Amino acid sequence: MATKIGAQEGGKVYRFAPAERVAHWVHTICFFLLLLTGLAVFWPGGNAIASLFGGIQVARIVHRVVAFPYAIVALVVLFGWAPEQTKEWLRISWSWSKEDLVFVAGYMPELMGRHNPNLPEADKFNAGEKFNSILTLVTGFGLVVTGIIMWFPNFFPKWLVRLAYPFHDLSWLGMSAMLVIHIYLSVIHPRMRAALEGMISGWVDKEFAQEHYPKWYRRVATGAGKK
Amino acid sequence: MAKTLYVDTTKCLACRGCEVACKQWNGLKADIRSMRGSYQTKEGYAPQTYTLVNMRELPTDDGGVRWLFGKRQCMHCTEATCMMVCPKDAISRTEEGAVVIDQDKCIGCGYCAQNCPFEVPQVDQKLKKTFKCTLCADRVANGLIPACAKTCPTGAIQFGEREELLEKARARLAEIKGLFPNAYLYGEKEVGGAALYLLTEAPSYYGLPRAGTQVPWQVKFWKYFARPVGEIALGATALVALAGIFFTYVAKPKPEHPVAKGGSAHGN
Repeated sequence: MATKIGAQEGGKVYRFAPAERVAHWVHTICFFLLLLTGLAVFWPGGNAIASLFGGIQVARIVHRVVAFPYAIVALVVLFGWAPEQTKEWLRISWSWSKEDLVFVAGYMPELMGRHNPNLPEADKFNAGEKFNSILTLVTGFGLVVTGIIMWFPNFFPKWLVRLAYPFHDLSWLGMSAMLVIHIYLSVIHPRMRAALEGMISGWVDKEFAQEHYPKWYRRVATGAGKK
Repeated sequence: MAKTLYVDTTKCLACRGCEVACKQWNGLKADIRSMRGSYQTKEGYAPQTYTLVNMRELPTDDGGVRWLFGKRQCMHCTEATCMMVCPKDAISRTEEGAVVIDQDKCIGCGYCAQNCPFEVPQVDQKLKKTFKCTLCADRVANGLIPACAKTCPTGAIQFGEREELLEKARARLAEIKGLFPNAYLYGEKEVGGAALYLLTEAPSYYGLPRAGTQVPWQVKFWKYFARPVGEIALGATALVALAGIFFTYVAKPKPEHPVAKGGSAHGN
C-alpha cells in the first residue's frame, strides 16, 4: 500500500506522493528543454545553444515536440495518479487570504538568509509556493495557447497571431523570473533547501515541516484530515 | 539621404515588365500557376516573387470597368516592423534606405512575415529562409537604379531621393485630383514614411492596408512593454538571488536564533 501523506518514520514526514514528484520533474525537464530551444530562436546569441541540439532548425523542431509533454504529462500524471493531492494543491494555491500577503511582504529577510519570526503560519504550501504554482499554471496555459497560435498562424486571425508573440514572451520571462527564486530557495538557500529532498524522496525532516509548514504538519500528522 | 521607389499608378499599363526584370536581376525562378480568372499574373508575394502588379476591376457608372493597376513591392518602411521583430537581428537598413535581410543570419522563423503590415516577407519553408525585395541594394550600391524602375517603359516606377520624389508625387497628386477626387499618396505618412504609391482611389481598392497604417499595436506592445517588463522581472529576481547568496554566505547573519532546529512554530 502506498505511503500516506503525513506518515512519519525516523524523524521524517512524508510530504509528496510519487505522482507529485514525477509530475514536478517531467515538467522541469520539459521546461528547461523548451527554455533552451526557445532561447536559441529568441536570442541573437543563441546559436551556440542551438548547436547543442544540432542546429537551429533541429532546435525549433525539438521546441515543438517537447511542447506536447510540457502541456500534457504533468496534468495527466497529477489528476490520474494523485487526484486527492492535486485537488488539495490547487485548492490551497488558489485560495488567498490577507495572511498570504503578509507572508509575501515579510519574506525578504528570509530570502537574504535572515529570520522573520512574524511570518504567518503556512499550510502545505506557503504564499510564495502558492504564487509559484499559480504562475506555473497560468504561464503554462498561456505558453501552450500562444504557442499553438504561433505554430499555426494560418488558422487564426492576424491580430491574434501578432498578439501571441508578446504574451509568449511575457509568459516565459515571468516564469523564468519566478524560477530563479524557486531554484535559489530549493538548491542554495540554507534553511529552505531541505525542501528539495521532499521533491526527490518524498520525505522531509520533521523539524523542517514543523517550522515551515506548521498548519499542514498539525493537520496531517495528528490524524485530522489524514488520508 | 534615404532613397525610395515612387509608383505613379496612373501611368502604369500593367505590362508587368517590372515583374520580369525583378526576376531576371535577382535570379528568381518563375512561379508557374494555373489561370485563376484574372489577368493578374501573380496572386501575391512568394519567396521567388518580390514584386507584382496587383489588378483590380472597378465598375464605372456607365456600366464599364476601370482597371486599377498597383505595382507593389516591399515598402522599405522608415519604421520597419520586420526589423523590430526579427529575433536574430538579421534585418537591417542600408545607407541608401533599403531594408534588407541578411540570409546568413535568417532562420526562417517567420516573425517578420507574420507581423509586417503589408505581408511582404515570405518564408521559404524548404530553405528555412525568408525573402523579400531588397530595393536592388546591390545595384543601388553600385550607382544603378532598381531593376523594376529601370525597365518601366512609362516612367510609372521612379527611384531616387525620397524628398525629391515626394515633391514630385505631391505635385502629381494635385494634378490628378480633378480626374480622381479620391486620389491618395500612399507611403507619405504610413509607417513613418515608406515607398510612395500614388493611388487613384482609397488604398483598400488596391488591396492595401488602410491609409495611415503604422507599426501594428501588438508589435509596439511587444517591443516597448511585454519584453522590457519581462526582462526587468527576470533581472530583478536574479539580483535578489545574487543578493541572497551574498547576505547568506558572505555577509552572514548573526546567529541570533536557532537555525531550523527546535520547536519554533513559525513558518519561513
